[in-house]
Amino acid sequence: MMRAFKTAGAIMLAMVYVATASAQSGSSVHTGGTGASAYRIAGTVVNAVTGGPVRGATVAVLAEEDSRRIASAQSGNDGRFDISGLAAGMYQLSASKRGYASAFYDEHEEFSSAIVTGDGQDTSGLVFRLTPGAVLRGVVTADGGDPLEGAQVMLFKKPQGHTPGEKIAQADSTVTDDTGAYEFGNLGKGEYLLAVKAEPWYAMHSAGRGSRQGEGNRALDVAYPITFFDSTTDEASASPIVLTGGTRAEADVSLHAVPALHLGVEAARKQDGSAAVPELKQTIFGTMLSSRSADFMDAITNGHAEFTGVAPGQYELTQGDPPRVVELDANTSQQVEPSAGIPAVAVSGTLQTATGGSLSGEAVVILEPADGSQGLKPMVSDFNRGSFSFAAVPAGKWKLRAEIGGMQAPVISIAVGGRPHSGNVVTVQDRALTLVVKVSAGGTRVEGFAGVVGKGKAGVLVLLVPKDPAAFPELVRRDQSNSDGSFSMRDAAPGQYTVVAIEDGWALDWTRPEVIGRYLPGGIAVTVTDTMDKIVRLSGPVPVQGR
Amino acid sequence: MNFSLVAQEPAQPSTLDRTLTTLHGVVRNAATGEGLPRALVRIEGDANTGALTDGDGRFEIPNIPVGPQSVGVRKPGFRDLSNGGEAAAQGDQVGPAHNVMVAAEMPDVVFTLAPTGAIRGQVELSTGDTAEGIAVALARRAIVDGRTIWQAAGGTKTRSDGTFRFGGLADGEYAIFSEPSMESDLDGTPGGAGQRWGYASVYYPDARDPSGAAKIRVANGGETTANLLLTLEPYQAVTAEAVFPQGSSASRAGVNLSAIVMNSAGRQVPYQTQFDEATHTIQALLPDGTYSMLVSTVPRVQATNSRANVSTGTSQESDVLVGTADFTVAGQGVARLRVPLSVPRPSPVQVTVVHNGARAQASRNELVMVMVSQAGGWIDDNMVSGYANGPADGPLTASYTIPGVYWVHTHVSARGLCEASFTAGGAPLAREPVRIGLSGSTALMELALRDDCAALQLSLPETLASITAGEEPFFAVYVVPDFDSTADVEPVTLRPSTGGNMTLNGLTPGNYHVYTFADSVQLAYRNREALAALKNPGQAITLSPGATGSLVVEAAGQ
Repeated sequence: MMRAFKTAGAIMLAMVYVATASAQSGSSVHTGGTGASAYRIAGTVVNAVTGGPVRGATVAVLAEEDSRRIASAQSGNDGRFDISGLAAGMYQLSASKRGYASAFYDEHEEFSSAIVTGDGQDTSGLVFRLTPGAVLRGVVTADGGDPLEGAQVMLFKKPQGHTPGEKIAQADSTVTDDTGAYEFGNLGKGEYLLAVKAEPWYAMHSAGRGSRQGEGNRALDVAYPITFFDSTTDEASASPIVLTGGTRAEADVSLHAVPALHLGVEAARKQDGSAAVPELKQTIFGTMLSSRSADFMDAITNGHAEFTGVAPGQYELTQGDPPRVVELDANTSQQVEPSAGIPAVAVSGTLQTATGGSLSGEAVVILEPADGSQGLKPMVSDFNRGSFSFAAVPAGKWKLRAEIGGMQAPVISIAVGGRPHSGNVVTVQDRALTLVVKVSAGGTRVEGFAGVVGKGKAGVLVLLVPKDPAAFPELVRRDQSNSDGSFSMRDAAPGQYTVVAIEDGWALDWTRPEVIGRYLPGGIAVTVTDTMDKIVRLSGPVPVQGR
Repeated sequence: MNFSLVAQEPAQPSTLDRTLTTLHGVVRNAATGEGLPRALVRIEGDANTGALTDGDGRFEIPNIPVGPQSVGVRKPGFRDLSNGGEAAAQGDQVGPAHNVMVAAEMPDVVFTLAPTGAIRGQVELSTGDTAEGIAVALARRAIVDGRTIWQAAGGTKTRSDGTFRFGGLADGEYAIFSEPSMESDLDGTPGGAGQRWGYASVYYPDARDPSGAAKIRVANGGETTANLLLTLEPYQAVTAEAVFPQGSSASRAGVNLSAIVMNSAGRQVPYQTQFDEATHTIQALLPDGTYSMLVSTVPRVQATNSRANVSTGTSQESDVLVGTADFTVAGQGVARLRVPLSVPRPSPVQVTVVHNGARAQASRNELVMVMVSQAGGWIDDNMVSGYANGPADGPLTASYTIPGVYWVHTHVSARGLCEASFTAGGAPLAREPVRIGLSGSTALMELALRDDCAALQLSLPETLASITAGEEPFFAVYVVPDFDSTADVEPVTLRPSTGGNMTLNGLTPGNYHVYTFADSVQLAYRNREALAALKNPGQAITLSPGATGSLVVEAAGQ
């Protein structure tokens, strides 16, 4: 079973003085008819690292449709829990315990196995593994070993799964206390990177180079470059921190103040007479960290602007009209030439369903540098009522993706300036582009069973693999089989596919055709068409293959 | 008190033809008296000019134009309490600026920073589990509007080892308490089936109620320890349904409800409530105790937030239905608690104007505003909200206010009018808080105004009225009536650079004591004992009806 978002883990226990009107969708009836509430879900909660029992864990049975709580129990000293009196049906099973990551049953990435109760279903011997949270803590110090209070400590996580387009993402952020200490608790296993951003508390950044800046003040016109664990200012040299369940790791970082840079920029006039205010962005690990605009008054009255207090590092400067994007590896104060950088153009268009309907929900179009495009950074569009726009896209080759409600929506076709375009790589030159992007959001579901007739297999990786290798891997759909072997793969785009079921398949890099290819002969063929019913049911079970 | 501040803007210094000199001096540690190394001294508003102190705490900033300058002093781990200490204690790290008159050949300027303290602690759980992620709150003893109260001063969460820390604290008295916490993520949201477990608030050292909170003293930048033990207990499901008034146009459908939970003392407690649209009920999870639930309909107006809004109109509130119900949770849940709703119609405040003076009839656009703040000495008490307002000849229209016990603050913005008396059921509101229910004050509130108000001109003595070099002194002056008044006393700041004098208008005639401090002081002026205990005895003055008194203040230490 797949979740759109992680329900239990997202519940905030913070002080909420007034909870108003959180609209619950209609209550689901799970009490069933008379005599139907005879089923139970039982098992043991164990520590995923040590295998030992976890006592006092809350185990809750939630309605599969709306996560409404049906019943719950606490695990005993032996880790055992037993919830009876349930109607036949499909439930989410969730467990939570302080110090452990709250989880759904047999959770892998965004998948877990729902528990199906009913005649012939044995749901009394479940082993619910909870992973103890990892902790990363440390102290940030400044020159002379002084603790640095108020430093922003950012934690990034390297991608774990094999989802296409998945990148290093910011996992958390905190601020050091008055002893310079920080801590990130309840972390999942994975490979992390740590970055610290701070401003010397005594820094004074004077504008106007050479004005009446005395010797003494140069000592105060300082900045801390963004510093990565283990105390390097080079993003590429950041040391990964590997955490597993229950790990307690320490990572101290020391920052060193260096002379702050002054970046002078011309502020061009736009055609309407207003000033094109220069903007300076800093990005680490693909995440935009900060964006500051030059002083508007400077730009409008003097035609030039100055960024002060800039720490040496990598920046993206947007200047001029039409805007030009300058990649700056800033190590010295400098005047940026108006001709520097790659001209950027506007890219806009509409996002439509496969049948040409408009998308009004929460959607974005994402441009990522296509292979071989140097110096470009991913961009996310603005989106409003089915239309997307990028104000300034630098020239280059871009791969276009779409996300609807945070979920990847496969791009089926792209038209550029009204003409069909082959593939999802768009070349941006010196002219604005208007696109029509069609995505599959048809919501066709492919449902079936993993296992053999009469005997489903739980917790198996199920893949919907397109026949057309060119479409691979954007159109692949995944699920995890439920306790009865059932699965359901959402948002399948029209096309021909093979469904394969692989036991313990979670470590496989399914994005690579050569990895998945060997399983395809053992799969079941299925065709999804636009005109079909919303649900495609496989007539027979999908054989489970060993890894 | 209806002040009209006769403030004089300092003359804008010309930037041309200025003599430059060097500002020099020393920054000292208030706790030790020693020079403080690596403190930053800077000219405010000038990104160019500043310096760090040397190893002896000395600094020199060259090329400063002579004349008045605003100087800021800071260092991590220290606070500048010398000027506006209260503001600094509330988290303003930069601290207030010092007014320094820069002159050629000026002597050393001395600044003092106080080290900040910390409270740290360990939370332990009765289950033996490590208390990770428990929300802990900090409250600080503060004087607001002349009364001593507990004021929210921060919050944090315990780290993975169950410890917490509040750093950067100014000297003073603090309290620590844990926020209610559910045992598991899954227990957070009310609704649905199954027993829930959690921890109730504990006030250091081990009280369940704020009245049992111990004062934790932070002094001289020291570190104090405050540990908490939390005991796991069942949280019971409480389900409440609203009963709409007969004939009300409001129907169940299309109306959402919000609710807050209050303890038996009428104080809001931080337990979550949730409106379930499907069953049209309010759901809450509560540990054993005696509570009151306040339910209101939530179209358009956030009635529960009225304390945060200084509302001057009542037009929107006519749509809101509110109701309360008392209940007790003892070992089991409460199902179907019925909360009858009605349109709150607070009774108006009666106003009489005593005509002693020559004042003509009150103009309709001259307003009297009555503000209220929760009484009882715990968090949030400094939150002031509008209660009633109207024309100076009354009556004042009252607006819906969350039921509770409140102190009254009266603001008369009508020229020539001042408070004569303000009572509820005959009791003076300056000394007795008013009890407000769904239909307003249970006792008739009567405000009497008079039109023969007095004025008082305050001035600094000759010797202090001008300054030639160094840090400019300033004086905080409280003009405290010897009689009952619900008008707040705002301290007046006198500085040589603004002429050293000021006139207060709209004062109720009578006897006053004038307290002058050579420092920014929060004075508990409503506490007679606290005033009597001051080293500074104050200057007594009688203000006659319709007359303007004058007083040269005597500056004394705190």
